[in-house]
Formats: sequence, structure tokens, C-alpha cells
Amino acid sequence: MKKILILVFIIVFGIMSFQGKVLQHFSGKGIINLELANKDTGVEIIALWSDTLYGDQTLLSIAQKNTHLDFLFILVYVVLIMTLSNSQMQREKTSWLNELLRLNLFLAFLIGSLDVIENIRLLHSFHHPGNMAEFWRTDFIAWPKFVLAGWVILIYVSSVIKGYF
Amino acid sequence: MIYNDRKAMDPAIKKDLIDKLLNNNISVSELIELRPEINEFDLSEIIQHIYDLNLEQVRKIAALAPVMAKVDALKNSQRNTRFIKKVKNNFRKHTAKHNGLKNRVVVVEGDSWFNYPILLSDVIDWISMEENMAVYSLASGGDWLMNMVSAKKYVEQLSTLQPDVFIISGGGNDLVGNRRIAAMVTHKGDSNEFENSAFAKYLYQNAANPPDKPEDFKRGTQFISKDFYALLAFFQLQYYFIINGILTGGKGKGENGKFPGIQVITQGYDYAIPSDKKIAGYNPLKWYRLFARTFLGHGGWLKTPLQLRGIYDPEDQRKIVYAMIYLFNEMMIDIGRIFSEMLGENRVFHIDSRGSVGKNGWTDELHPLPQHFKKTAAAFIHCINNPNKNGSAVIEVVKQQEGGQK
Repeated sequence: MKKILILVFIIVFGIMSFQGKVLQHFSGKGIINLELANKDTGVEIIALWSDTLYGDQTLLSIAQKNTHLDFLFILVYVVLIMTLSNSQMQREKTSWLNELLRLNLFLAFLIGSLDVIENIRLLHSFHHPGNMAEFWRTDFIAWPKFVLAGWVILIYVSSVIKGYF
Repeated sequence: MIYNDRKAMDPAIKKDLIDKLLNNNISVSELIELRPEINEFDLSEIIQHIYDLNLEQVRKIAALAPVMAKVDALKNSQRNTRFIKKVKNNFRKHTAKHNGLKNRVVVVEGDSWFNYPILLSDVIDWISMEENMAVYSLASGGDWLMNMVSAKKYVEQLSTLQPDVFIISGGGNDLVGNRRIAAMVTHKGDSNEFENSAFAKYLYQNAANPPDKPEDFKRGTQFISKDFYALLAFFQLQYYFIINGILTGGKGKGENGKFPGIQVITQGYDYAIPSDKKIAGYNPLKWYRLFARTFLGHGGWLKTPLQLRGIYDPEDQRKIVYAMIYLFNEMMIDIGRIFSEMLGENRVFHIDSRGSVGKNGWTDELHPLPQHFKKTAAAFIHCINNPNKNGSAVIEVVKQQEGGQK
């Protein structure tokens, strides 16, 4: 189960990284720039992607595909965090760290939920390039999401490293 | 007919004794006489009478929900993969590197105190973390003792793995699963079935520990019907059947046992508190309490069935469960005494968790918070590493905890 999840995670992550690199290379802005952007910058990025061609499609179309694929990625990473944290819970003897690993289960769900909301907002904005009124900001969702993700990884890695001593 | 090196009991006498057990008027000497005569067929007959159902119906209500069975199996699969990895690496030849303790192979059969998937670190999770213990788990949350006896999964693994220790926990779901507890009580509060039950009175009089709240115990027994006492005696017959099979090959003599030196450890839960409250504090680290209480059956095991029987006072509800858990533990301790006397040394130990969880230490109605599972696990670990062959075979979690703190 764990191995399959890690494999799917790597494949989806690889595809999304490739798409991200295309966006970054041809516009100088990646998906994360958009996620964390304020209204002005966000509208600017979407307008730029909408106007820039990559082969027979626009960069905006690639960003849309990337966001669609992100729904699968969310599912995979949420289950992966839960699986890894749960597995580590069965090895972690220190009560408070064991409790924090258990909190990871809930945080994984929370991070995934934030990411879903964020994607829905991004997809809405993609349908209105250059339209300031219809741009839905995501930075207030993306920041807590990244902070929580960092925390979850920190707890997991700390527990794993502690296990070697 | 010769059975187990003894002349088998006359079937008519056996039937008479079983009838007495079911009617809560079997004497202690009769129960002792009946104990070694009981076979799987008898156990199956008795359970049908206690539950007023035919065997198929009993099996149906005792069966694990498919999703539950799958999640339990997944956790066991992870545990048992680690077990194999650990034991393959010369585990049985050596002592633990860090603490120098003798390595032990442990087989576990039990219920949700031993296998609570995903959300909680249960007793066996904590035991498995010990460097000198390799634990093979057959436990399933929601499993009935009756299923453990009839499926006999432990028999195959005991033969294959020849463990140093066999841990078993069961009976909780036979009592509270499918709202069964409602059938074990009477709403009037005037029951004198405790006085009629020679076995329960014998357990009370020979108790390892008197109840810390005798008045609560007395009040609780006033609601308990004869079916509970029949079930209590039935539990002892089941445990006797399992343990006698392991320690003496079912023949009542230690030299016939297939697993020389094996240590058997039982446990008997703590005083659960009937409750259907969803909120139990606001500590975000205990988020799983709200989750468990909202989605995983909280209130439906104890509180609702007692209400359905017309017992509404929360204090009366608590006292009923207090009396039941008290007697259940004493019954298990008695099992240890039986085998100590039979074999001349302690081979069956009991972890007594009574009073260790406290009022606010519960995840839901039946399951302690992980930190309390850890306390119970510490008592198991102590018992496995330091088996007291000639002293007390009861390890009290509360005292163990106090000793650890000192």
C-alpha cells in the first residue's frame, strides 16, 4: 500500500513538475506564484498565461490541466501523509510526539481540504483572464496550507530521525 | 466414554449443570465439576440459550462488519510484517541490544483494546515498540470472545510460532456488542440475582481486591439480571477451554501441554462510563475524541441500550458497568488461580486495569486515550519481562504506574 502510494505520488508529482517548469520557463511565473499572489499580480499572471502560446495551446490551458491533476495529487498526498504518520505512530514511543503524529492525520485532511478549495478558486479565475472583479484570491488559503504541510513534514521527519538514536 | 484422560460426565448430568448455569443457580462446586467437561459443542449450545438466538443468528450478530474486518486486517498485516522482519534477524537467539532483556515472541488475540485501527495507539501498539518483543497479532476491534473460541486462529499461530507469551483479551463485545447489555439488566433496580449467583458471590468473597466503591457495586448489582451471571460463568468456561487447551492440551495436566513454559496474559478492561456526550474538552491534540464520538459508535454500546431498558440515571448506568467490570476482572483473576493450582506455578497472569483510566481518560465509551493504553501496556511489558511464577499473578496498572513514578 505504502509503496504503491509512493509510486503514484512520484509519477503525479513528476507530471505536475514538468507542467510547472513549462509555465515557469515561458512566463517566468509558476503555479505557486499564482497561489500566493495578491489580486493585481494574480490577474497579471493569468492574463500573461492566457496570451502566451505553448505549441498549439496556451499556458493557461496547461495551468488548468495542472490544477485538474492536482485533485488527484491531493488525494494521493493526503492518504500518503496519513499512512506514513500512522505507520510512524506505531513506532514512536514518546507520548507527545506520538500524539503529534496522530494530529498529522487530521492536518492531512485539513491541508487537502484547503487545497481543494484553493483549486476551485483558481479554476474560477482561469475562466476570467484579465478580469479583476472575477479573480478569486487564494493566498490566504495557500499560506496556511504550506505552513501546515511544513509542520506535518517536520513532525514526521523528527520522529523518523529520533528513531535512529 | 473416556475424554481427556477422564471418564466423561454423564450427558444427563452435564445438561442438568448447564441448565443450572443458565438459570443462575449453579453452585461453585458444580461449576468446577462442569468446567473440564465443556467442549465446543456445549459452548455453542450455551451461547444460544443466553442470547435466545439460534447459532446462525448468534454468528450473524457476532460477525465483524466487512469494513471493520478489512481495516483490522490491514493493521494486523502491518504488524505481522514487522514481526517477521524482526524475528528473521536472529531475534530468538539474542537479548535486546539496548536494555539486555531477553527477547520474547508474543502472539496476541483480542478485541479493540488490542487492535484499534488508524486513530489510536492501542495496548499492542505500545507493547510492539519494545525492542525485546516481537508481536504477532490476530486481534480485531469488535471481535467477540465467542468468535475467537470458534475460529481458533490462535491455535494455528501458536503451533507455528511457538511463542513465549500468549496474550488474550475478549468478552467486552460479547457483553456490549449489538446492544446486548440491554438484555443483561433489569430497569427496576430490585434485582437480587447477585445473591442468587453462587459464582458471583464466590468471586466477590475471594476477590483479589475488594471494590473501591462497595456502595456503587451494590447499587449496580441491583440492576443486573441473571443473564449477566450466566454470561460471566460462560466467559470463564470459554477462557478455561482456551487456556486449558494451550497449557495442558485440554487434559488438565501440565505435562500434556504443547507449549512448555508459555506464559498466558489476560486483561479485563477498566470501568467504562456510559456516555453519549460528543464534546469532552477542547484540546486540539485530542481532536480524535470528537471524531470517534461522532462517527464510531459512541453512546451506542452502553448509554443507549441502558436507556432503552428504562435506566436513565447516569449514576445508575455507571454503577451497573462498574459492577460488571469488577466481576469480569475477578472472574479472569480466578482463571489465573485455577491454573496456578493445577500447574503448581503462575502461568496465567492478569493485567488489572480497573481504576487506571479515570473519569476524563476516555476517547469514547469503551476506549481509553492512547496515554492510558500505554499505562496498561507498561503493565503487560513488566509482566512479560518479570513473570512472577510464585507470587501474585495479578499486575495492577494503577500500582504499576505509581511504582514507575516513584
